[in-house]
Amino acid sequence: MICSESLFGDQKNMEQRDIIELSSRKRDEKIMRAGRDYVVGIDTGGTFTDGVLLDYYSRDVINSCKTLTTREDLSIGIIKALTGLNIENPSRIRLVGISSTLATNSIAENRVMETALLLVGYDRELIETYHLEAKFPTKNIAYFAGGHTSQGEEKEALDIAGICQWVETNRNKVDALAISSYFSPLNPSHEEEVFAAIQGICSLPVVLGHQLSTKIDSISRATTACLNASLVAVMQGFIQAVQTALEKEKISAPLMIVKGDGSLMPYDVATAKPVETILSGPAASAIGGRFLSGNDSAVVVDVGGTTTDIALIENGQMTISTGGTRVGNVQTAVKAARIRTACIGCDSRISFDKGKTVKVGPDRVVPLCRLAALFPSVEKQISALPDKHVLDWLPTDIEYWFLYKDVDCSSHFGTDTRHAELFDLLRQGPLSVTHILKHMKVNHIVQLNAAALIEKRLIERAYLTPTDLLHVIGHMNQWNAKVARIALQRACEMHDRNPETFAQETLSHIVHRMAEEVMTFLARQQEGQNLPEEIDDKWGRWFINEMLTDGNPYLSVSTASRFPVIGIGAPAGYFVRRLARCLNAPFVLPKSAAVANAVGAVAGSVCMDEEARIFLKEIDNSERFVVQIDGRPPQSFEEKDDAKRYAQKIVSDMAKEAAIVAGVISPQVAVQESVDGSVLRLVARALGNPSLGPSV
Amino acid sequence: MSNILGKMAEAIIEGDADSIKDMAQKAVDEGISIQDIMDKGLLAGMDVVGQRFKVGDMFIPEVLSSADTMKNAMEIIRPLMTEGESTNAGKLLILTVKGDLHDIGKNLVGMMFEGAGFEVIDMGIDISVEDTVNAVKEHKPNLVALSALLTTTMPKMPETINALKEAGIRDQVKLLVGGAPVTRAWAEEIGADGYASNAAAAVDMGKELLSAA
Repeated sequence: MICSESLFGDQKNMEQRDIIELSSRKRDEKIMRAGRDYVVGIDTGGTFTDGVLLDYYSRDVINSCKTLTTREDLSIGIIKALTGLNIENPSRIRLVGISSTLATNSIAENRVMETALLLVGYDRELIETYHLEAKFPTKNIAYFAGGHTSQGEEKEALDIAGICQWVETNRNKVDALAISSYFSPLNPSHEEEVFAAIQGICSLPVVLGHQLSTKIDSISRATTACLNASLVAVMQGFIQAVQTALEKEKISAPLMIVKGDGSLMPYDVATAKPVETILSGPAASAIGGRFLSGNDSAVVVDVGGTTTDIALIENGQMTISTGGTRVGNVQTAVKAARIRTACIGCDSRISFDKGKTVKVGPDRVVPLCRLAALFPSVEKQISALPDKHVLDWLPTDIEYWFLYKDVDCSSHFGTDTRHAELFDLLRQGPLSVTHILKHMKVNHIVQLNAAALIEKRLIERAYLTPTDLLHVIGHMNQWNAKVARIALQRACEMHDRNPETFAQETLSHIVHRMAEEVMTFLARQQEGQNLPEEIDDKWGRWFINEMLTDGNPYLSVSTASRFPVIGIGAPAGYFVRRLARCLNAPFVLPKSAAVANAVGAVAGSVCMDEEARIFLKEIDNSERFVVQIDGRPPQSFEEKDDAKRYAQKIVSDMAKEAAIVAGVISPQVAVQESVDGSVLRLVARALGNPSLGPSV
Repeated sequence: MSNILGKMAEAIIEGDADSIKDMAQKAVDEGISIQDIMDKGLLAGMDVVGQRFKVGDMFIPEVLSSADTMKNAMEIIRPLMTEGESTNAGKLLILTVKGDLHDIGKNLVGMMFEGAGFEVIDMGIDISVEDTVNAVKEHKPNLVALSALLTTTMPKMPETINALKEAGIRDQVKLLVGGAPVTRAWAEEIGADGYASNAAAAVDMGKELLSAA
């Protein structure tokens, strides 16, 4: 196949195309020198938690640490990563940045606080007619009179008595409250009144819709406020644990948390607005890629274990989802980074489909070569496979299960002895599924009913993955390559594939898939709404295939990304280099690409926004322009220009002030105007690098 | 084809409201399809009216007569549409915004959509933003058309758009705007889905928006 040759044969050509494979200018420095500014960045990902000790100005990674993410309590993994950095001089640390999947995971796994959503001035009939209540992340919803009109006028009196009574009655049934009132971005007075009244009744955390989002969409504001309320206590606990750990390590630097757009916010703001940390993981990776490579505009491709995340940075800023980010089934109004996530990574499970096709992902498993390196019994068993008689071969010979988290069987499984038996079996060590089926006396895995156990990550599986293939072709050497080779050989023989070419073919298939994802991502930057998520129909597929394989004798179809491609994550050197070639783009592999995510956790800028909303209001018989700014009484003007001038001054000052308080020394302020129906929005953004804390 | 369609078009242009009914009946009796009667007879005539009005060759009173003629013709044609033609090209909600009493253009657009097989709900003139949202809730149209003829009432259009957004149902309808002071650029700026400068173009735009949906 032509593509194999061009991708893997011509090493020299490839080197000429790369920009630079950035390597350390000086020899590896592992010591902290006096007078230099060091910072710590920690990123908790789906599989791993990474920490880095970074020299802020030279951008050199002094030390890094990788440990497994501890999903039940993220702070444990973080503390491990912190101690693993072996910081000899903690007093020299000037800043600590953390990006975590806490918000995303908590929502996805529904491990959030029980929240009640109080809707003021919402049309219950309309919501029920259009089934909009399905969009709310809670079932505890109560409707009350009140709210404002499209001109910010009170449309009916606020039923404050009804609300207070409801809170009195229900305050022990929920852990947090979210209040959302109709058209609150134009007039938040009802939300503020409710807040003040509740303070006198109970001490539950209360979140107000307009403080989380000023989007003109009552449903998404309510959803975002509700989600935030459900996360506040969770985030509080997490940050407290991290602060305790920092204290223990004698690090007294300021603590920043990464937002979903890659910027940094002080930890107290994060405690109040945890929902803003959604997607901070992939955003941090992109920021890290930019920081380490020095490229201000680039496509960043982060190849991880489970997924490959693609982001775009233009002129130093991440492109964000202006419509709001989706988390699982919930549409929020949070403006997080626009990331395309492809369910393919270096630990994706390789499955043999019908015909000659191969499927990679979406499931993630442990690579066989890694399992064998950690468990000698596995190496022994797989090494013995070539001796097995061909008539006894089973596909399940190379699929392994092992116990990831041991639990007390009686309390967990009750009367289901099957599962208890399985656990007993696995306590001996990882076992091949062939072995498990034999001992459990069943013929097929489904009979074990273990899906829930695997989902809860009590049991983990191991099988062939791209990592194994990389070992087979000799590109990786970290784990047990011999086992990878034997398993691959056996799998090919059983599924009728050519063992000589399978590894290369599958790897290039993976590169093609990734290239396709990047192409789709870039195309949808502009055409978002109009192009479907996947490339469809006959012509679309034809173009993509021709572009990727470059084998058509009559037509050369090629596409070029206008931006260079930065690869981060450990396997980036292999996959992203090749996908950049498919896209005729320069490839950049920053030094320390494997820990770019942790670098990004502390490399972002602090970014504070303040918004003014200007709209027309009919007062008496004239029309006036009202300027609504959070925390300020509304002002009205006869002339639009006067309103704009006033708004611009106030929000610029407020944003600048907020950035200074957050630790930026001299923030840059820029104001942007946009029309949102009948509302003119003026947003002042104050941007700057966090000032590093004083040395102790 | 007989020249009855040509004569119908002329009757529309000349505002001959009296003879149009017989002509329409004759066309039906001759077996001409409803679609052709609409497209090649009535709408062809209205197209000319619209063109002439635009360049100043026809004036409002004349346009009104043509509209009346069209209305009369529809009385014959409409009942026949439920059988042959699809009456499910879509559902249109049309109105003139609050503070504005103009309705000629709106009425024409409504008639054209009807002719194209839409179910049309005409709310009339001087309709408030709240009533509009309630009407969308009640009738669940897939197209909403707003008309305004004064620059002072134009702001009601973006206000209506925001009211639909706030209600969380903006994505349930395609929104068309029109009227003398309205421009395509302004329509785009305020977030409307489409703009048309005449009734026939409005129908085309409406169909296009629905098929893309």
